[in-house]
Amino acid sequence: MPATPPVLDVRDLHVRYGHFHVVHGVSLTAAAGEAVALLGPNGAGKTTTLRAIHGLVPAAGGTITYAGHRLDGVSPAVRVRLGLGLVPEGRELFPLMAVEEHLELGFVPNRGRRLTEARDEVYALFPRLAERRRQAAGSLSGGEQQMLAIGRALMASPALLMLDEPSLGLAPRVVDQVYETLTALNRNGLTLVVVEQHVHEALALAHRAYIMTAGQIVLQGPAEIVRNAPELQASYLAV
Amino acid sequence: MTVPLFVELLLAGVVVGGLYALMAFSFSLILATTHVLNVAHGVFMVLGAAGVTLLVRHLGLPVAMGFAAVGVGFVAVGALVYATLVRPLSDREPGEVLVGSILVTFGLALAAEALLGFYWARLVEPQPVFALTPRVASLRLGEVVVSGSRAVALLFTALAVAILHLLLVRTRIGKEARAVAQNAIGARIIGLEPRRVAAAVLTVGITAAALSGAVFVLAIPLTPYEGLRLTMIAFTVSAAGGVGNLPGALAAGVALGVAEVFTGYWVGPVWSPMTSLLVLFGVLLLRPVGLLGGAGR
Repeated sequence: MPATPPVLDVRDLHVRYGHFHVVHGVSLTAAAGEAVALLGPNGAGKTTTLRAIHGLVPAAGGTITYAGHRLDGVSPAVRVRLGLGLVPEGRELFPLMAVEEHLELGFVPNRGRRLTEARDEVYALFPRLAERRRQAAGSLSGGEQQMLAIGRALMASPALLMLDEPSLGLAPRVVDQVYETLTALNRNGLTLVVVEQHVHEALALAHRAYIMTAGQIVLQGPAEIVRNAPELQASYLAV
Repeated sequence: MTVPLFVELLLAGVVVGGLYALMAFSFSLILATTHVLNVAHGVFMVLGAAGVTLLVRHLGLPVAMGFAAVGVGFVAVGALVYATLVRPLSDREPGEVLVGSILVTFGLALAAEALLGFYWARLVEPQPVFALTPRVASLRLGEVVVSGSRAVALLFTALAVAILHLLLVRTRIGKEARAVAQNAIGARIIGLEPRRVAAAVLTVGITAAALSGAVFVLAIPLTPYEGLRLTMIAFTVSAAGGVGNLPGALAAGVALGVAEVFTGYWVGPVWSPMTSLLVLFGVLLLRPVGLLGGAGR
């Protein structure tokens, strides 16, 4: 894609947890409106890469640039205000709080949107959430919880949404629903970075893909090329 | 035991227990949202009692103004405690915050108690006792006589609990506090500011402790060195009712207050403080997660 500068530009990112060097010089980009998949086996450092981009763990080296802003040392709260969103692995909901409370808490008045506008859009996207609006998050099904995690992130009107294993633990039918929604969001211009074990769904959604193994990017390219690349098989069999 | 006496003791227990619940809930809300275990929490209760006693009994302020002044004053104290003792810990891991806060607030508790006891004895009265004895008409309900100040204390407790509940359920900052208590990572991911929440919770929590102490001395006098005993009660009530759980704190606090009053009547007042320790041991042995479980309700 493109001559336009990328919205997200990660260069030579390093992340350490104590003595463990988890991410070794990862570089990746996402252009505006692009859907990017980040694939690879368990323990490759995909989740850590997303957490570093969102500011939840400090980068030990490299740079993260988002829409022209250098994000070094910037808190997650500021990143959310700049338009970054994260749907984390395990969803990280507030188990005793109602669906509607999650949406209120996720709301950030970005791009001049009002709370009610943002909320109605989420309910239009996920009618199930509207039906369950007074219910506690802990009492929802896995699929509904994933919808809520996505809806909560959308309340901040992000320009770039990162999703970590959005299909984890969901029934195949629900996985399809989630990916249909993500495809629709992407068509409307939302930039996506998706970390996924379900390679097939992720590659159907993505324009480009990166394969990560042992903390490094081992292959990148258009989704249809990555789909048939021997590195993809190898990276999953390597574990 | 006659019925009127039983009702009177029960009511005394409910008054004391309601205030325990208020103090303990604010203690456990601070713990759940910030991982600060405020060992000085009971000391703030005693300081609130000392403040209102000084203003009303020794300086002659009207009771209502005394309470208002304690409320306003401890908002400032709470904000100061946050800024000087808690904020410097805020970038640490939860476990480090917990241990660090125990050390720091334990030191604060000892220092505050010693200074209060020493200077009160020198400057105010040689045998420090914090108590309020306003002239409020008693209520007579059939054979049962309810002391007016006890009724005022009960009313205040109910009001304070209702206000805390509304703060947590209706206001943005209250919802943020519940969110942080239930899932701190989730709260950071969506861009909530843990420091803003911590500042608010500490300020409200310490003010609630001080006010519960100010009201406590309408019913029962306090002395300077009871702060750590009261912190133990906060601990007991939180363990029994669930950390960050308001209904649980109310149930456990009232049960403990009633148990203390009846122990005092039947066994002897010296044994009252033992009640809370027995309850704590019992709860920790039987239900280590708390009777009603869950955080940040």
